[in-house]
Amino acid sequence: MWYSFKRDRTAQLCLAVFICLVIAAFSAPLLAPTDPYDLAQIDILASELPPFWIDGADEMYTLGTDAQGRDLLSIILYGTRVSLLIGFGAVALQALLGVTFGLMAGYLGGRVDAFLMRLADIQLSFSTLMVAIVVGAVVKATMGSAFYSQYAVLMLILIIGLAEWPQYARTVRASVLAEKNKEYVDAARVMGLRSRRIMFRHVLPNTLSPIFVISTVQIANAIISEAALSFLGLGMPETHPSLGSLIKAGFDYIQSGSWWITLIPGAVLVVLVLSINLLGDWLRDVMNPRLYKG
Amino acid sequence: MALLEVSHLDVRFALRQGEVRALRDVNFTLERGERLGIVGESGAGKSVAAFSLLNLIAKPGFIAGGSIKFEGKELNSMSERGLRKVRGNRISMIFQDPMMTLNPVLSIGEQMVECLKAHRRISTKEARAIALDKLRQVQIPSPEKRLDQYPHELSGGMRQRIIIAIALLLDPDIIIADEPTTALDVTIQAEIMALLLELCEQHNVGLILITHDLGVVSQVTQRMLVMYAGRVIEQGPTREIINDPQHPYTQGLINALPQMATPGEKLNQIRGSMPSLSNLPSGCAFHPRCDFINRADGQPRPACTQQVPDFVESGNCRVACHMVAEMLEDRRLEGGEPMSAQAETIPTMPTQNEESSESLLQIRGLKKRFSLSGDFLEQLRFKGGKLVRHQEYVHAINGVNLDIKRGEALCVVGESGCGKSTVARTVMGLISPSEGEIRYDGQRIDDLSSKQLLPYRKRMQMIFQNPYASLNPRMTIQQTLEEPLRLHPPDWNRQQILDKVEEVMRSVGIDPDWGKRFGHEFSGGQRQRIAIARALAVDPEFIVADEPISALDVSIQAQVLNLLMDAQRDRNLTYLFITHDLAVVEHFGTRVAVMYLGTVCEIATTATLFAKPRHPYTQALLSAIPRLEDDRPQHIRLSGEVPTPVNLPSGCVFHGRCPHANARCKQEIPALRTQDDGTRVACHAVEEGRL
Repeated sequence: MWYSFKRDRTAQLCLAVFICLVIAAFSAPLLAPTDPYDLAQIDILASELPPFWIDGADEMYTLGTDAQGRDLLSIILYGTRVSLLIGFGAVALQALLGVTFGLMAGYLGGRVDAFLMRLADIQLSFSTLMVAIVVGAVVKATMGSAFYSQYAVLMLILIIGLAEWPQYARTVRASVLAEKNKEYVDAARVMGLRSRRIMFRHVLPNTLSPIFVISTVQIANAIISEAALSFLGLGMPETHPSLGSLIKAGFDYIQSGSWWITLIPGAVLVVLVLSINLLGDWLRDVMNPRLYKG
Repeated sequence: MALLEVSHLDVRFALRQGEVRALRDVNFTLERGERLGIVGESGAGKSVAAFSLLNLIAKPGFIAGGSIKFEGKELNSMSERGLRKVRGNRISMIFQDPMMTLNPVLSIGEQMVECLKAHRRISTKEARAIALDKLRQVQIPSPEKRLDQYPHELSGGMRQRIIIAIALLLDPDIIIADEPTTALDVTIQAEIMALLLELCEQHNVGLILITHDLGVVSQVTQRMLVMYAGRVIEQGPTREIINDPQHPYTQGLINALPQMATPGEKLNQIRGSMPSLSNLPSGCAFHPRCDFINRADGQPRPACTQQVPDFVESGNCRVACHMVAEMLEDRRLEGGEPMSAQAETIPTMPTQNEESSESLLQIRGLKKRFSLSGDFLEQLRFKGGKLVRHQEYVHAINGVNLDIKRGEALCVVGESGCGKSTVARTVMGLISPSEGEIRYDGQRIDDLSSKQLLPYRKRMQMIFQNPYASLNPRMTIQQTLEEPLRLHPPDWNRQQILDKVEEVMRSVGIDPDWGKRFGHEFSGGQRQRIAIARALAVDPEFIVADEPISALDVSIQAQVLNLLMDAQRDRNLTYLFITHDLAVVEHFGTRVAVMYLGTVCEIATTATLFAKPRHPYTQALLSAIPRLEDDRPQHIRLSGEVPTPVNLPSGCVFHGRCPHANARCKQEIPALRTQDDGTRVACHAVEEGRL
């Protein structure tokens, strides 16, 4: 694995970009020139200032400011952090649900399999959007929208996690079905091991490679889903922006010439997702030599 | 001028780790109509040799040197266009797996016509006529129908016949057959081999037969090459090599065959395993495994470890061995029989007390069906306007009765699909029977829950066929072996478990220091030893072995069989041994049960069965084993193919292929009847005294 990594320039570059973005995002409070959550630091008079390479820029705001006068650099750093949190959190939830269900469906078979897979089919026929609307509506109705915005990150993790777990379940089930008929599983059964131990100790470790590969794709997808939901106003509130809600906030001003409010967060999103996807491609090639494109 | 002349052929693979020499200095010639065998274990380079003849070596492999002359023309330097004219047309190939060689989306006729049209300017009609003629030659039933069928509609044996027909299409001068019968059953294998031989003789076609099976080579070929680690180590007339092998490896290979040893005695094994080509030992590649490395004075011969041996002429054979060279030089060669393997005489196994009539395992009326029809919704069919539930079954076992006595090794033999593995898996509780009962030590075990079965898990264990799949690739050997000991007995402490693991590893000849390694770091033989160690770890009294050696090379098979026999002697084990290899049965089994299509057709003690097979199927099976001996025994040809277990034939399941079948056989199912010598046979012909 290390060997192929050393030879693959794309993978190296992507990992470098990805690590830079992660470090930058999670040390946002240290790196960012201003704190966008601190209302005292926001100057509404300094709104819609362009980035430094355009006339009229204020050198205090390297990438300009948004419509509320927040420093775009700072807010992108904070926003990336939120996006990454949601991406990883949602994938963790998907993996937990999907792997457990997929493992059970594949290994136990029969009715469990039929039930869980039909559940997955039903889940897949709800789009992420539908889940978001339903969860959002339920939570806002019962707890109030203040509660919803306070826990928006958790809500989005829940929504994207719930909407996408069948991807994992299907992948895991397929590879469990392939592993289940191998003789080492029979050998474990002949020893008298319990199903749970066979599932988690014997079968699961042998299905890890596809899980890793799908995880990279899913992280990228989750980040995009989050951005899409936020863009539609179903995600992060504007006071607590993610990359998606930044893009949305700026979209209203794109006609008036302040393109940077939308395009710079957009570019960050593209770079982030692209680097994760390319890393995933590399991982898939390494883990599945049959797909190797010589 | 020879038809094909290969000299100093050198093939290399450019790998990451550097260049690997897959073939070095291979020389041989083939005359028109001659049959040449290339023998070797896996990794010896025999398939590479075959592929390089037609310049079909795929990257990263390449031919690094030497020449291949076909009718005096150099194939090595020929253009791709020129090569295509030779491939298929003048030299054709038959590959190992008949399932993979035919294109599944083209009908047989299309594939044959395509091949003809690529080389000759003829119309489709003419091509079909030629194709039909070839199909007749390979004696396929109703050849006209086959042209429009697709490969998946045909059985393995028929597909291999079609592949032979395709190989013959353009009347080639040479056929290269790479393990043509390895994927087939014994009776089918015998048929196909006989057919190939007949056609080659008839059309005066040269044959290069690549195989690991010394029996097949000795039956079919006139000259042979023995390969080891990319080199030819011995070549010459087949009979001379088989009867009087010179190279220690060839000797070892022949002596390791179960039929070369007295039943019940240890086999002569070659220690170790074939080295990997990327890490060859210095000097003679065989020296780490060679028993003759020491000179008469007890000192190792330095040349063996330092210098790659050159060929020496010994009679009609050429041998690459320092010892043989030395012998020839010393003129101590007496009648060519100087150093026939000094087989260690190992004490015979105590003859099993055959009359200990106590049955350890009883199987009564065992049946197992597998549903083919999917889940409930898929079973619903419209029939005559009504919705009915339609179910189809594979009848894997149909009423099997077996008794296994304490201390014996009961072998179950049969061809693929006869239900022998299903019996093994049902006994172990991996699948539950549809009908019938299984008693272990008097207790019924087939209806126990997995919790109730737990105490029996300590007493009965299983060894699997494929050592590459039976070890969990993500667990170390230590973890694999510890696992059964956590349950049986449940109260051992860490130290006791560690001690036991070390003990079983030693007992199967695996260094306990290797415990931290993973399965893939071991060779096939070593893995199978580890799998055996896992079964032995809980000190069972009964072991089900499902084809434990069929995935292994000949020299390794002997090691594993010896290990199993040692274990039986030391631990007083009882075996249920599933195999398709009759030679192994003859050597290993106390009693034999022959299965056909889910029923037992004959049970006898091993000696009786081999001396006097009663059931027509047993007779055919025995006559189909390729033997080393020169005198080809009259092979009993079975017509047709094994019927599918979905629609079982009425009456005796064997009647469709049986040369002795009559009207009664078609209607009435024969029962197992005991003969005067204790053999039990299920056959009307035997019962009526017609046989």
